[in-house]
Amino acid sequence: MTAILLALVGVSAGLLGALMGVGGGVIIVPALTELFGVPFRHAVGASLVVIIMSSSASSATFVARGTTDIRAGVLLGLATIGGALVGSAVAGVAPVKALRILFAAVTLYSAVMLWRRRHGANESSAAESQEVRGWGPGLGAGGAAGVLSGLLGVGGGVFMMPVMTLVMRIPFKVAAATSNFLIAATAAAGAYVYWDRGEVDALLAAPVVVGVFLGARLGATLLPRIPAQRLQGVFAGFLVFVGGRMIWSVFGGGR
Amino acid sequence: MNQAVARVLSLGSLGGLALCAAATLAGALGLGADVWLARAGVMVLFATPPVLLAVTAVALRREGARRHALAAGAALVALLSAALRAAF
Repeated sequence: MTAILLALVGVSAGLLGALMGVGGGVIIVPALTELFGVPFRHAVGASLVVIIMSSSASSATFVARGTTDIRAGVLLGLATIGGALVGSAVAGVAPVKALRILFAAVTLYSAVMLWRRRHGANESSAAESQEVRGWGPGLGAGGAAGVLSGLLGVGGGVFMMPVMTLVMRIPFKVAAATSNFLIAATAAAGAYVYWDRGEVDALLAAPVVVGVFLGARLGATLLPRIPAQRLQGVFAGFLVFVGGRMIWSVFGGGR
Repeated sequence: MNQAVARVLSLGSLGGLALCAAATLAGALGLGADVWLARAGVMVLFATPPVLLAVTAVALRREGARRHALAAGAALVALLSAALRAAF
């Protein structure tokens, strides 16, 4: 029964991720901690496993189509993997309350980015230049995204995308595909450290992996038929609720 | 290069997914194999990024992109060191 409920959490995360363009981590970690009482670090470990599967599966399509800039990806990957190793190591010693507050901040940031995208002020307005520049800020953002991925079990794409498109001048679709390519290796680096500490529960992760895959498929099918852009405002509000709930649980004596 | 990299990503993600699905089914049916099926699924997913980086490094070197091949190799070493530390 629990496995089915966990799979349903995955379906929700995959569905919303596909429809709203946000990573599953911002849904999976709060759902596992708040609904199932899973310890925060174990929820992060499970989320990282799910991210490896979902970004690998979507990246396969982008790479086969030639949308991914693999050369830029491997250079940025050095920064994101290094950051993830640092972030996941720090997560092992950082107070859980601090991690939860940071997670709430990332959730609220995701909500703002989603709200801005809804109003058309998104990062797709970047110039369609083929020449990649701004490697310094790019590598810095990659390192920071990696640290957050390792700390909180999120993909980090929401931090990489603005820098890749606006600073590095990578076209939006190429940046999205390249970000996906980076995320699998970044999440793996973090997940190994969590596994080393015994914080990856395979039985917890497996049903969520299956659910996310099914949810993402369903979302891709539904996307052309529903007004996803209008729903982004509602989902941004939901993320504000999730972030607020997490802050409340810290200061209100939650786990 | 793209086809080889895409193949690694597809095989890894779908292989891991299939094992996780089998584990979920086994768990729902009360069969005892769910633990090792879930672990096998996670292991396949864990193995995918290092294999991906190895294939990418070799492909980039063949294309003459030495700097990028070196970057892929360095990322691979970082991943493998973390993976080996977790394994032993």
